Amino acid sequence: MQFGYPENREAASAARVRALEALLIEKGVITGATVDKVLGYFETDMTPLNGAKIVARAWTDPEFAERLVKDTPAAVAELDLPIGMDGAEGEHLQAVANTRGVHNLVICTLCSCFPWPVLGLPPYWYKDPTFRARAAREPRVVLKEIGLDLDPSVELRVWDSSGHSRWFVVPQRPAGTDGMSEEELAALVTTESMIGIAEVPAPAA
Amino acid sequence: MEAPATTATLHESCIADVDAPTFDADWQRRAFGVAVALSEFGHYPWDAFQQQLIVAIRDWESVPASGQGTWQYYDHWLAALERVLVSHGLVAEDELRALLGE
Repeated sequence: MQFGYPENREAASAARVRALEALLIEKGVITGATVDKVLGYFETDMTPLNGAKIVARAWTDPEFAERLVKDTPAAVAELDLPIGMDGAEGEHLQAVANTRGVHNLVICTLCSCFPWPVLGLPPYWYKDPTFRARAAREPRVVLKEIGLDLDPSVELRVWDSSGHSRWFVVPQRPAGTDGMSEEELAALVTTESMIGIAEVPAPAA
Repeated sequence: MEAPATTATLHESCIADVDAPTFDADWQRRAFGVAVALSEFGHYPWDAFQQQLIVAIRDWESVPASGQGTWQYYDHWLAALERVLVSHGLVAEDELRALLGE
């Protein structure tokens, strides 16, 4: 670590961030309140609840489901979600739908692109170098290890996110959900299922 | 890019992790907020930050495992932030060096 900073790496990183933010504030580039506002937006408005509502709509409205994969930002804009679609990479959202014969998995091998507006911030393991490398190289094995044993007849498609495509998965609607409302369906949808490392389990009978 | 050994396994808690905190420490949260806020307010396109993040992570991954040290995603994030601030003229290189006590 740099001279003059604590040897403890964690403390050194914290000190660097504090110094950097203070310098940017002093130079008038940014204010602390601006950073707070952006963080608040991420923490309260951009959460997996948005993705879950989109999936539930797709499950109940086949025409919406079709529009969703064709032009994702436009379809998402039809819903009344607290999403600033013009910011936070919302314009790059791309939905892919699972079917009986096709399962989709979203990864980001280079860094950790994630569809923030619909899934919030990524779980820590998504950013892990082991997960990123192995999910690209042997996705079927990785899925099996984490509990999703795909039938060999199911085609597995792996989508590598980038700045221009932020993929998310529309999982299959589970059995035993006939007659459920859109709201009840949304409550079943997990972040994992929208990344494609899990299926949506059928509701407990 | 050299891939890690195939024997490496994922975290056991890799699944059902919906409620896990996104940031382990407040400095990670601030580093995230500063990088996104600057982009949102037009100081640089998000792509520019992302490219620096890719470079920082690639540099780490290209080092043999014995010399890598513990993986800390937000250290790479911070390195990317520093590089993009300099490349977009928001902070001068000597200001950054002074800040880091170099």
